[in-house]
Amino acid sequence: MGIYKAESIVLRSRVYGEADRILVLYTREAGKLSAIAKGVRKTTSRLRGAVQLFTHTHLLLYTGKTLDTVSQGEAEEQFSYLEQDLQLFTAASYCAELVDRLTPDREPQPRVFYLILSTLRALKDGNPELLTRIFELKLLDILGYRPRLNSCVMGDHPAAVEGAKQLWFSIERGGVICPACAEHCKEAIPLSPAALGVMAYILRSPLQQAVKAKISPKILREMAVLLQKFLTYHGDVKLQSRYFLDALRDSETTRHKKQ
Amino acid sequence: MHLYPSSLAALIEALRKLPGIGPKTAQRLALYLLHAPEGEAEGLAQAILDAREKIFFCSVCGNLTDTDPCELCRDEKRDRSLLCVVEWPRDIIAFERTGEFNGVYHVLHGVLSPMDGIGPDDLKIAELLKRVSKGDIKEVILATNPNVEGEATALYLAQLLKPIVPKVTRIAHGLPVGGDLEFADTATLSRSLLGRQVI
Ligand SMILES: [Zn+2]
Ligand SMILES: [Zn+2]
Repeated sequence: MGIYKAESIVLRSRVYGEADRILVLYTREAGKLSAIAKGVRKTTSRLRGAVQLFTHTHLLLYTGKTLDTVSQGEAEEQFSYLEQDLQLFTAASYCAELVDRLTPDREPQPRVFYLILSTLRALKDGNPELLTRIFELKLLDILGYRPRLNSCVMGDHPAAVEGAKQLWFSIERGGVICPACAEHCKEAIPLSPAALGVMAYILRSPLQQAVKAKISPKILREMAVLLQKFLTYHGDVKLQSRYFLDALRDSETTRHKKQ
Repeated sequence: MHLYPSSLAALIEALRKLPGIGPKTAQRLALYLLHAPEGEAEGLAQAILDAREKIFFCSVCGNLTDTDPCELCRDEKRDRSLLCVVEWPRDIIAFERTGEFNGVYHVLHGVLSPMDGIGPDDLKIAELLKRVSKGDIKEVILATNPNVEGEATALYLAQLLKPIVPKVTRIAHGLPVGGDLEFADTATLSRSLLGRQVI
């Protein structure tokens, strides 16, 4: 392939050798790929600014035997607010880790690229917890694991019954279950109509609109537990950053309660 | 690798595990050591064993040392009211090279990195807070690297420290974004120290 251009977002960056870094990039043109950025830990490196973690950047790469090498770069956007707040930093880390673990190498999916980009932008003012839920749902949708929310997964009938206070969800079957069918489905877990409504709203709305929704912490928590189970089952992932994300959220909640 | 006798192959394999060393360099080093002047290979082997046995982390600051507390912590001439927080012991070397800093250090042994599973509890933060809460420290200088993880760590520490220390500052002034401290030239590093700002 020789030399190629890639509009990229830096998902991960780790120190390698004397002064190099190995990057995991999500590129618009080629999907996820790893590349080496040589000498970027030196203060004299001209490439340095263009390969910082979470930067939206235009890179020129050349193909190598094992790893491609970044030869030139120009940063397009830096999201400096991620450094100012540990909760935002952890939320961005979680989304990046999710993409790193769930997407295959070198399979272009521009929708994933734009999802990461709009999420990093929205973290500036948006609620990080809601944004992480939006990110999970939209990523699952793009990757072909969209949870079925509009009709019962046990048959082709509506799941939401008038006035039902309680619905059900099957992680294994990947969708919602009506109260009648839930009696015959052992693995069904409870799901509130409100959480179902919010998830359906997120899936049909653009991210910029969904992030404006005012969702109660209780519903966000319910979605977090459900989506976590869904990701573990369908994506087979247990993420490092998840632990900190939950720990931070819980410490925030207790702090607010105390005040 | 059947081309080499097994003891030589084992040496090559051991060298290859070192950071920054590929298979070709490992072969070259192994062959060099085989024919090195009398005593050189033995000296290297002994130096590795000695260092492994005698070097540990200072119980006060977390620096690498062979005495406890370390030489820097014992030095009466250093200003104990000025504390510089760094990521790694190698950053202490970088600051000492400038000759500009006369305070004491605290080594975090890393930075916050959720993706690598490194959170506040994995760094020497509890030790830092305990040290600072004794009340002798007038200023804490946060000298983590000027990259995303380093900045996030510095701001997190600033939030914890501000209620208990009179002054919390951040180096960075004049330091280019993303360059690691250990690679900064002494002039730039001195300037970043002198130009530190309250956060
Ligand atoms: Zn049904
Ligand atoms: Zn010490």
